[in-house]
Amino acid sequence: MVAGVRKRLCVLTAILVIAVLSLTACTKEDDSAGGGDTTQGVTDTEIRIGTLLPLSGNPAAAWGISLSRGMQAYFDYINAQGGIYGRKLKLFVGDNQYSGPVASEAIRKLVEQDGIFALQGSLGTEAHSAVYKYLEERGIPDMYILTGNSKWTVPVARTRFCGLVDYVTEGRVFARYIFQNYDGQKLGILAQNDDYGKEGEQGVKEGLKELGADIDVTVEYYDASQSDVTAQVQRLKGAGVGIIAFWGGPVQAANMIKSARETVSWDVPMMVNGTNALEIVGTLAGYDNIEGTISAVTGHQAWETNVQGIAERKQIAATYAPDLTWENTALVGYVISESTVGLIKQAGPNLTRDTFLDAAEAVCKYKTDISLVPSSSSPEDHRLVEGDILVRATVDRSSNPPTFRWQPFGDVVDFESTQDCVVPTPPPGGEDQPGPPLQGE
Amino acid sequence: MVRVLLRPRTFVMAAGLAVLIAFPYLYRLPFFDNYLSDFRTFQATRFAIWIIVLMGLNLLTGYSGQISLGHAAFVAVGAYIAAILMKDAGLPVFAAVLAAALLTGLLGFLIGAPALRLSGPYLAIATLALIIVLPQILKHPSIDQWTGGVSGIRISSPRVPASMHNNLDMNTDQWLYYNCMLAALIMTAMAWSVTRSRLGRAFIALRDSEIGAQQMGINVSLYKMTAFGLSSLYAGAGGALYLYQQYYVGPTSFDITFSLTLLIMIVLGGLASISGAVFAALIFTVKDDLTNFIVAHIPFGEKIGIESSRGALFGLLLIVSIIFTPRGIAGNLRKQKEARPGGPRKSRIAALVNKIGLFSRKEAQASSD
Repeated sequence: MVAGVRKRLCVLTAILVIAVLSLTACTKEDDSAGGGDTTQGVTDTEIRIGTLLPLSGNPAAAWGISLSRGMQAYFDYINAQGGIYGRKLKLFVGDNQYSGPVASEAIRKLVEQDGIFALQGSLGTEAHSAVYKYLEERGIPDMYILTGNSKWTVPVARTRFCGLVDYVTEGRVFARYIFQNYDGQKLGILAQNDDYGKEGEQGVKEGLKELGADIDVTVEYYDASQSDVTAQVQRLKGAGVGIIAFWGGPVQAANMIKSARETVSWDVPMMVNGTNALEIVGTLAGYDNIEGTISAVTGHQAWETNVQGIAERKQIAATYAPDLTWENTALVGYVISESTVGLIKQAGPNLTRDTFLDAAEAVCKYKTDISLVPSSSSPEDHRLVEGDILVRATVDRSSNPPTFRWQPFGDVVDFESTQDCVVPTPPPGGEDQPGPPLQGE
Repeated sequence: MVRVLLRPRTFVMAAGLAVLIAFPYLYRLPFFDNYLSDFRTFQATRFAIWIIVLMGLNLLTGYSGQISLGHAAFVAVGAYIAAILMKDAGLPVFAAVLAAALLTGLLGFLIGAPALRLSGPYLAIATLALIIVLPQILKHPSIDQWTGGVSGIRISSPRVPASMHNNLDMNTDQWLYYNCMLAALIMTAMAWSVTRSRLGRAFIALRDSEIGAQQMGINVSLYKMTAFGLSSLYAGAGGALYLYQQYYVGPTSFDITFSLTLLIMIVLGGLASISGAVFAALIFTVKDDLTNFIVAHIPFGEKIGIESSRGALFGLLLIVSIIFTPRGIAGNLRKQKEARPGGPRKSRIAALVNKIGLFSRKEAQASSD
């Protein structure tokens, strides 16, 4: 038996040695491998667009499904009008399950099997962290990522664009409001213990510093996996905080509001970051508790059907996705598709990754009929929107049951870094194509 | 030697090896190009990595009977160690992977110590704590200059060496595939060897009866720790290769869901079996493809909201497979073989070879018994 083991060990050692040699023999790197056809995903009749969303395996799947349906509804609407320059849009949805390992596999499928031209509206910071370098190396346009991490846009990569106001900028918007209304008081920041929360914290602190505010800041963190933040709220109360700014997920936002009002009986004013300007947060926190809480948006919301642009989009969505629930996530998906279509139109009949990215880098003070903050971009600035308008949680008790809304107030606070831009010239025949109005108009 | 080469098992293994070697190039041939692509090569690389991880878990859970819900924590540790060694220490890939495997193995061996006093559900709870605590440790400010804190670590992307690219027209995906598959083969051979050694028999004795094992003179604590260490070594190697392929690891890359899925896979594939771990890795690799395929092919799926029920669908598949293959795929294949009248059937080639008399007398006797 001993001899047998020894023999096996010998064989194994031999294999191991060969392995070492084969692996270390050639360590010189080669740059010529990889790369690809620049017009993958575009034919005379079709453009393939991918998206990477959580569709299962995580509570965020509810958002992913709603977003993908909103995206699809708009593409169907454009396709029903014959597509852009005769090319119909086909949406490929990859399920990232909100996880890095899953996302990295799903993106390979989208790029290598489905052969997408561009990716749009990817959701999930961790998930996208695992794929964004791959997309960059392959030269696949990575459009309007739906998380606001500044790492997408600092440093700028030619192919990558952020679709949300980045968390640092949003923090500066909040800082301005806090400075104007609560100078001299103590600010408590409650942040999720990750990129997301820390960038918000950084933004607020930078903003306060810029303004020369006399505000003490105390920070509490919670971990993304915990939903109860009562202890942190209690500590903030103990620290004598006069206003709270929150960066994190909707469940924790609601929990913070609820525990401050109910458990701690504390009427402290609160601000929650823009991704929490959702109706569900009001439902979870309780309307009486959330009333007066402040958040931020960049455009009109799905419920504002008195705004013509919203009413029109709701109508289109109802036609092309009859069973879609019309709320903000669906609207975001819809608008992401609209932005992609706008760029495809602007890129003109000769659609390549280059013409597409050129269009994406030359957006100048562009506003649709539902946006409140103008968008600009340049080769140095891949953040489309760099400002917010604040919204306040309001409850209308005259209706039965009471309705809850995030009502915009005050002026747009804009930190747009692209100031002296030139409105690009529209491509030939662009006006005749369906989709959003062109940049040149 | 001729005898060995003519064994049916050798044929099968040689054929399998040939397929493994040819696989990444197959998509360049007609017919195969419809089904295969670089993406499939990528998936096959993942498959190799999961073989390593699951092989280790099977050594611990299948052979030694210790249930670990926190196995993913060791995978993460392996990936992080490899990342730090490659990025900060500038170690070559092979050395980093080897060091990550050994260090993770050592860590597992030490963590195995408290597990000595625990068994069954208590051990499961203790290991669960590992995977819950790990992200917090990785994010801790005192070490985040190495772990990258919440952002994780990104290393430079792997590239196929120039000589391979020029001489064999190999691309990066194929290069990664051969690296990981080679590692998987070595580690599988190692596991095979271990399970048929004194160590493996001690593990099995431990699993079947701890008191009995003790009576046989087995040092229970040492072997339990060894089982932990060995399975962690596998997890560490898998994690390091994952990092190499993915060139990114974050604090939540390997979460509790991933950890539990590993355990489910090993049960589905077949406990206490080498081929069980391979089947488990195969299921793990294709499970999302499978659910997507089913989702896309259910008639009127849109109407019943199938999009939002992928998780439920996967759960249903799990229940169905446990009902039909309660011992896992490998276990059921073995059972079928054993259930045949006259014991395991000998292959025709074996019978033929036997008749011709190529086997030595001893082996001929053994196979005609």
